[in-house]
Order: sequence, then structure tokens, then C-alpha cells
Amino acid sequence: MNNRELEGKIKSAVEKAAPDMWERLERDIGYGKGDTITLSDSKRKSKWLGVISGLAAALVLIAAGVFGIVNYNRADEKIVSTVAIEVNPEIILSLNTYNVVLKAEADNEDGKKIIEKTNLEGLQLDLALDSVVASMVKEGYLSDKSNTMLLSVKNDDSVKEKALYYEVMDNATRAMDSENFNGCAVVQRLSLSNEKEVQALAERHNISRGKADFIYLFYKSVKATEDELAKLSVNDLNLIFESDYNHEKYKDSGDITYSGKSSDKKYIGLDKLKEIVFKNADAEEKYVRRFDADFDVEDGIMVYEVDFVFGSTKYEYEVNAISGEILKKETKEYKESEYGAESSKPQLNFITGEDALKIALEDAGIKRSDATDIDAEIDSDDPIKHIDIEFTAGGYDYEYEIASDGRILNRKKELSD
Amino acid sequence: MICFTSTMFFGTNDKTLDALIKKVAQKDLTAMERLYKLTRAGIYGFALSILKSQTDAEDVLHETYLSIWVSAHMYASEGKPMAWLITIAKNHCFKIFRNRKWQDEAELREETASENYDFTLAGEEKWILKECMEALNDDERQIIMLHAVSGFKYREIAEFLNKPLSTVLSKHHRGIKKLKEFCAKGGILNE
Repeated sequence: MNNRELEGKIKSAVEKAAPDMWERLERDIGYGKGDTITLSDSKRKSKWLGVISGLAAALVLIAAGVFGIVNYNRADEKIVSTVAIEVNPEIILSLNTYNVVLKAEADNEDGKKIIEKTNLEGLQLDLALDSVVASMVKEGYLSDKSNTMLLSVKNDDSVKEKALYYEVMDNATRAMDSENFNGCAVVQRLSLSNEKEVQALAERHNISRGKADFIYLFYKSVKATEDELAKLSVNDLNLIFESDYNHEKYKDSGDITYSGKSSDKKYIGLDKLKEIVFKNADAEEKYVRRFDADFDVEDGIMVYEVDFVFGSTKYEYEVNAISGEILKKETKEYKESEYGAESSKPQLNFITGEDALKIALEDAGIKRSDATDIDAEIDSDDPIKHIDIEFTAGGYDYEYEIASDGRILNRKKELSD
Repeated sequence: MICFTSTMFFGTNDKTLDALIKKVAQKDLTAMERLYKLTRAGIYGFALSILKSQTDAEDVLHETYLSIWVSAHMYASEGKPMAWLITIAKNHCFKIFRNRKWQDEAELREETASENYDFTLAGEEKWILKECMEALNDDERQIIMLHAVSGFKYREIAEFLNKPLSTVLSKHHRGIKKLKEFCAKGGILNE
């Protein structure tokens, strides 16, 4: 038996093993997907004999004429929604009603490089996002130091837009997961209520509509100017957004959602930051109260805005997030009564409920898919602000208290009732 | 860039497949059926070689042709219709891989190889296909399937899998040798 004969036998075996699922396929493409079948098709005509065929065709024509039924074949080619992807490369995917990519366009040079390396047109959205994420990871646009994607969805039908919004989040998260990439996806619906202002902001700074929309969401509540924010990467923008104490509120609005956490590995990090400011203040960490650190921008550079109380003094610092240099320092006498109102402001500037859940699940060695009855709640009444996490898995109830910097303050595991 | 110049696939000229895809773009169901019948074994064999699961390969087969139906109008003929079809199938295979990752790993571990495929074929062919699944490693299996079933030439396989031609040739040679040895041991083939 030579190689050709052996391959011939393999081919023959596969031909026989390959199922003929034509009938199922014909049903799905003919009806399940909503496509009309061309009446001129000879095979279809053979199935629709004589008078029945004529009557059916006539009925279709009458219905189309009287009721204005659209030709659903056109649905394949009509753009109904867009998904703009922004990391540094900017790519806009235009989709038909089945979420097939009809057009993939780059909005900048880096975007063009990604488009050239991927063949996105004709792919389903999930596969297109897989390709984009894989390519961006490979090319280094997404890395452990800059891991955030901003995805902006738009469809004129708000119900379909909401469905797309959730689908994009799911697909983007899975795409990053399949690359074993610890990324952060921020998905937003483009704002319609402030369209003019957002568009003006985009034009003023020559940035994408999606980025302008994201900045517009929170720029009034941070120190950084609109101009400074416009110059930041999506990753840094999200670090500042996560620092904004309102961001949990935005998350509940249904117009923006995110998974994962933006990387701060380009910066000195919380531990180093604490070391620097506590050393400067000659403060012992265990006696420090009301510690709070937020990202912001000062003169175009990323900084940590830090404040804490030690003894009877309130310290406020501004620290260069890259070099660790202390740029500003202020101290004042701390009077509990003057700052009592602070307790109404959540101090959870470093982790979200989702992050806290991840920490708890990891500590318990439980997969997310195995956990049920999950509950996450901010506990602002406790002297140390934290997130209470509860879940059930494997016949046990778990309770965790996760501090705003991600530390586990308390854990409890007991048999479920 | 993949540059396919193969002229025959299952005895079918690439121009025929090109023409069929263009008709499918116009929602010609007859052309779709013909395209399906002509190419389904190539798609199935390729999916099987990657996924090693009959059920998953069947899903890929179905999803691939649904995608072809929806996106045929975007096919740009460059004389490589089979490469286009196999690329769509490959994307669906990756989708299955991704979904597998989301399944419970324990559940996957419980599945034994024999549970993933049980070909209802006559003795010799069943044995050969089984050996393709079990005796060959992933690269060898994909290369042999692309060559024997999907009709790709070696350099086309090298371009498609992004591997040096010499690697493809040596893996193909090694795979065929393995198959012959296993089949000979089983008394299936006579050297």
C-alpha cells in the first residue's frame, strides 16, 4: 500500500463519515435566518408544482405589493449597527442584522495595521472580536501595562442596541479570556441625549466619538481638564474613571459596563505609593485612617491624589504616578466633626464589586460558574469601608469582607442550611 | 498571504467552486446545495482533525455553511475558494475551543476519546479513521486531512498553517508512516 492509496482510504472514510445534514441546513437558511428563497430557483420550482406554485408566487407578490413586505435578502447587506473598538488602534465594525461584519474600517494608522492583519469582513461579531483581540495582543497594543479596550455600540433600535451591548461585553471578555489575557473591557452605548455636546468635544480634540462619549461621562467630576483627558490612552482614562467615586453609579445606568480592571503596572502601584507618602509623613500604616488614593492628571502627567489621616493631621499629597516624586504636599489639623460628611462618599477607589468577588472566589478556590446566590454590597457603616461578598458553592456558604485596596479583611465558610 | 493555486478539489475545478459561491451570494439554493455536497467532506475532515470530536465537527460543518450563506456576497474570488471555506471553518473551530474553555474542565476530563467519535463505518475505514484520531499528533492529523481530504498541496498547507514547507513535509511523512505501522499491526493494511 503506497501513500496515495492510504490517503485515498482516509478520504473515502471521511466522505462516508461526514454527515449529510443538508435538510437541516436548508431549513435553517431558508426559514431560521429569515431569508427569502429566490422563486426563480429551479429546485424550488420543482417542489412547487403547477397551480400551487403559481398561487404561492402570486400570493407572495400580492403580499409584497399590498403590505410592503421587505425583501429580507437585503437584511444581509444593510448596516444596522456599529461597534467601535479603541485601544490605541481604532477600528469601526459595521454590522448587519445578523451581527455579521460588513465593513471594517480603521480610524488611525495603528487601526490600519490591525485591519491589514485580520480578515474581519464576513465574520460573525464574536469571531471578529476574537481576531481583533488576538491581533492586538500579538502586536503589543494590548499588554499587561495597557490592557483596556473601549467598545462603543450603536444601533438606532434601543432594544437591539441593548442586546448588542451585552453581547459585545460577553464576546470581548471571552475573546480576552481565550487569549489568556488579563484585560479590561469597557462597553458603552453611545449617548443620544448629549449628542451635540459630545460631538463638539470630539471635534475640539480630534478624538473618536466613543472616546469623547467616555470622557463626557465623568470629566466634570475630576480635576483633569477635558484637554488633558483627551490626550490620554483608553487605559489611563479608565484608571481615572475608576477613581471617580461616581463610577459605580454610572455602571448601574445601563449605558456603560465593564469587566476586569485597567492595568496600573505602568505606575508605581498602591504599595509603593503608600511607602512613599507614609515615609514622608513619618506615619505608621496601621495607625493611618481614611486613606484614599485616586488617579488624576496634572500638567499632562498621571498623578496619584492621596489623602489620609494620621494622628490629628490630615495629609494631602500629589505624587507623580511614574516616578513616585512628591509634587505637592499639604497638611492641616484634622477634626473628625469637619470631615464627618466624608463617610457618605464610598472609599472604594481601587476595586469594584466584581473585583472583590474575583478576589473572594480565588481565595476560596471556587470557579465563578460554580458559585450561586452571589451577593456583593458596599458596607459604608463599618469603620473600615469594604465590600461584603457572599456566595454559595459546593454545599458551603462563603462570606468575605474585601477592603477597598483588595485586602481580605475577613472570611467565613460554613455548611449551607 | 495565502496563495492557493490548486486546481482540483474532489475532482472539482476551483472555477466551479468560485462560480457556485457567487451564485450562493445571490441566494441560489441549488448552488448552495451543490457547494455543500462538493465540499462538506473537506470541511468536516478539517474540523474533525482539529477538534477530534464528531459532534463538534458536525456543529462546525453546519455553522460554516450558515456563515457561507450569510456572507457569500463578500467572497472576493482570488482563485482560492477552498481556502475561503476552510478559513470560515477554522474560525468556527476556534469558537468551539473557546466554548470548551468555558465548560467545566472536570466534565471534559470525563469524556474519553472513544466517546468523542464512534464512526459508523465498515471495519477497515473505521480503523483508519480511528488511528488518524489516536495515533497522530495534532499537526500530523491536520496536515494529512488537508492533503488527503481537503485537496490542499503541501505548500498550500504550509501557507495555511503558517509552517515551513519542510516541516509540513516531514510531519506528513511521519504521520503516514505511523498510520501504516499502526494499521499493519492491526492487520488492516499490507505493506
